[in-house]
Amino acid sequence: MRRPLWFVLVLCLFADAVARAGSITVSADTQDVTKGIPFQLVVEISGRDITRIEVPKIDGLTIPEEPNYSGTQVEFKNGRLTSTKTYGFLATPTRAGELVLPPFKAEVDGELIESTAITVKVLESPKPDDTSSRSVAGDQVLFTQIKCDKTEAYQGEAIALSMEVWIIEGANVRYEPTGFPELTGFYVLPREPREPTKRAALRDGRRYQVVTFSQTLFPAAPGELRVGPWTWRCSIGYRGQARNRETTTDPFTIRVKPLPDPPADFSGTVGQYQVAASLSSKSAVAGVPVTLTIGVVGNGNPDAIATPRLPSIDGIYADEPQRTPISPEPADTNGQNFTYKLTPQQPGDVTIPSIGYTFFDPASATYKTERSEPLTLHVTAPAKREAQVVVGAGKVETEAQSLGSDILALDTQIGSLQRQGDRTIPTAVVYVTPVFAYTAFALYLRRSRRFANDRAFARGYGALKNGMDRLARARQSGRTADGLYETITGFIADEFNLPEIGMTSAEAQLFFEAQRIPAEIADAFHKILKACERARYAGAELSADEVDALTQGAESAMQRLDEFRKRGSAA
Amino acid sequence: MIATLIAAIAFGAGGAYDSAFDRGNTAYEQNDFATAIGAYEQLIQEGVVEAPVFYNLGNAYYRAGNKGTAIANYERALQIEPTYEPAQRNLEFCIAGTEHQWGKPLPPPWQESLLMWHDNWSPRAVYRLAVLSWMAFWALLALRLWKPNKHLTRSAIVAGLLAVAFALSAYVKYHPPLLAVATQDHTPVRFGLGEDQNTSFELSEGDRVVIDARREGWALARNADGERGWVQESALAIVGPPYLRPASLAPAVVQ
Repeated sequence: MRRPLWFVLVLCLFADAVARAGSITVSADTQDVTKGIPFQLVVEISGRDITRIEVPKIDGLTIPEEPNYSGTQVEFKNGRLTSTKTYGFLATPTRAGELVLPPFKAEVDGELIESTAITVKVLESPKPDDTSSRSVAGDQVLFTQIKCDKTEAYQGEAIALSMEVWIIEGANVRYEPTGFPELTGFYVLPREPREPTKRAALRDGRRYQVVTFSQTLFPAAPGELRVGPWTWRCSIGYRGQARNRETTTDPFTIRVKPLPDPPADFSGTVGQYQVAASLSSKSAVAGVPVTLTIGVVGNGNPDAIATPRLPSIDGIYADEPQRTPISPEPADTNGQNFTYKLTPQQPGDVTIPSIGYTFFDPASATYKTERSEPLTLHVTAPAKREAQVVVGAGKVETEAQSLGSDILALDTQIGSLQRQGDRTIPTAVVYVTPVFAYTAFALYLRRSRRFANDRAFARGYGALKNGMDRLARARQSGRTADGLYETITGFIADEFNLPEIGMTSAEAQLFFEAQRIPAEIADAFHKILKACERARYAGAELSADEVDALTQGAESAMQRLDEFRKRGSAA
Repeated sequence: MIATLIAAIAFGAGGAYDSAFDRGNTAYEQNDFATAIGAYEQLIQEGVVEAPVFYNLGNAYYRAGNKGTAIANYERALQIEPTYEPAQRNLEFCIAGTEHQWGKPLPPPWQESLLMWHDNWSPRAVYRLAVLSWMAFWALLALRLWKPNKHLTRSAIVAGLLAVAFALSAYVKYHPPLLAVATQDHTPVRFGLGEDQNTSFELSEGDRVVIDARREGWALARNADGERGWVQESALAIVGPPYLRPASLAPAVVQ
């Protein structure tokens, strides 16, 4: 029993020692690196206390002093907490060949530890081939190329244009969806390239994501037409570095051949087309329209598909066709549906003849005519009286006679007819009334708000009425001198928004002078107040005549002061 | 009392119009198309501008052999009620029977793009909506003045825009381009004003043209293809408004 116990104890101590000992490993994120293209050098150090790292100087490899990223991972290992720190250095090889990276050193938990040496194979920078773009930076992190599926085409023939952006795996690219090449002399569909397709591709041993923008070109005129150059600008982030990039493709030309002499019925379209016709119903009632749909489907320019020529058909009235674009399968085909409303005029069988569509086929360099199958429409006579519901505004449902190939019958039950008079004056009234109503409301609102918010205005506005009421009450109460005095001082307080604490005749005189009130008005108030004061303080009762005179004088003075205040002049 | 009086006057007049309309219908049923035309025309001259009156008048003219005038009256019915199905149907029928089968000249491009929404609205409907939107605009402004609120402001803006849009639509509906219909076959449209001018093209009965100018009994007509020339007004039925009888028809028809 003693031997196993000893063995377990030694094993634990060893494990502890292993766990305590720091370690350092160095690796590259890729086996083969390219001269001039940075790669990530990853240094992992395990231990509890990492005090420093020594990065060796290596001939042929530039390593920055500071890591471009670092991270810490903590784990519970053999019963102890151990941390692993990872440092990333963006190293750039400056020469091709095999590079031997000497050991990296680090001081961990007070001990200097070192990694093992590693070897990195550095490839020479590949030269751009003929189809690829000139890269401004001269590296292969991102490049562009532009190509067409034809270098020679007929006027109007479809040419597939692909604009490819090759982005090395791991790079992050941002770009604006603009900046596509000018394509003078081409009709281009779609106007702006549609959403790009993405695929993975291997090139020179590297994995790329290829973003392809596609458009279809239709040369509008014969001659040498130029495609490009295409300048592509983007921001690229790769291996921790972000920068703006610009690449430009070389322009190239497409030789556009003119079409041979066309036949008289040439539709103007170039490509390969098929034509089909169908009727919404094989039978119809005279006078009731049916729909004829002629579909033209092909691989040329969908906007150039001309309306098929519908021959004149005896006994059929055809109105103008409606054109509807269609997108049939496969994806590189397109077409247009032309819908005609055909109204048969008489009963009987009507044959809609084969409809031809002539186009230029660039594959065979000949004009071809595709034809639809002829169709037969069986037209029956309408019933003598056919119930139809005619519903109109303000009308009851009524039965109208359907005259089949004739006009519809009278509308007889329409309710009460009314004369429509001249609309000019009512319209003017209707349009002007709300404006006046709004103006009146705005003025009313403004006045109410002023009464609510402007106390001085409110007191001044009602001063005369209040004064007159108080004067009448004073006469009725018998306290003539006191009442008259309070009425006058109250009126002055209301007019000038003063506190109602009363004022003597002398104070009133001075106040009116200060307010530049005309002297005759000020004198009138002064005299009335003086008489009231004499009666109040001397104890002399006023006679009836004096009361009448003072009351009339007060009324007149208040009216004149109010008038002066409101109009700015004494009455 | 006043309301009763107004109602009596209104209903009394309405009754007279209804009996004139019925008289026209009865004459039509008895194949007396001249009398029917007279009855309907009289209604229109008295200011009864209703789509069914024009529609029935169109039918009467068609039966009387005046296809061009019939087309003009169907066009009038559709001006008043653009969704009036019988008028649309009969108009198409008549156009199908014309020699050229020309389409109707299109309104100006600004109108097509700005008022593309109003084709199926009757002039009365857009007029009423314009008035309602206008009143709502001022009511909302007044409410906003009383209690300022951002929702009221937005609603007032919307109501104002609607008022402008409907008012524009109503104006265009009540003042449409002057449409006319040829009432005779082989009507010459001349390069200049006068019988001595060379013929630019010919109108057939039922061909619709827009009148760009009128002078001394001549009209500057433009067809759907944009061809223009001078034509004698007597060979045309002016759709209007105003709704007038074509000069080429015998005045005796109106009773």
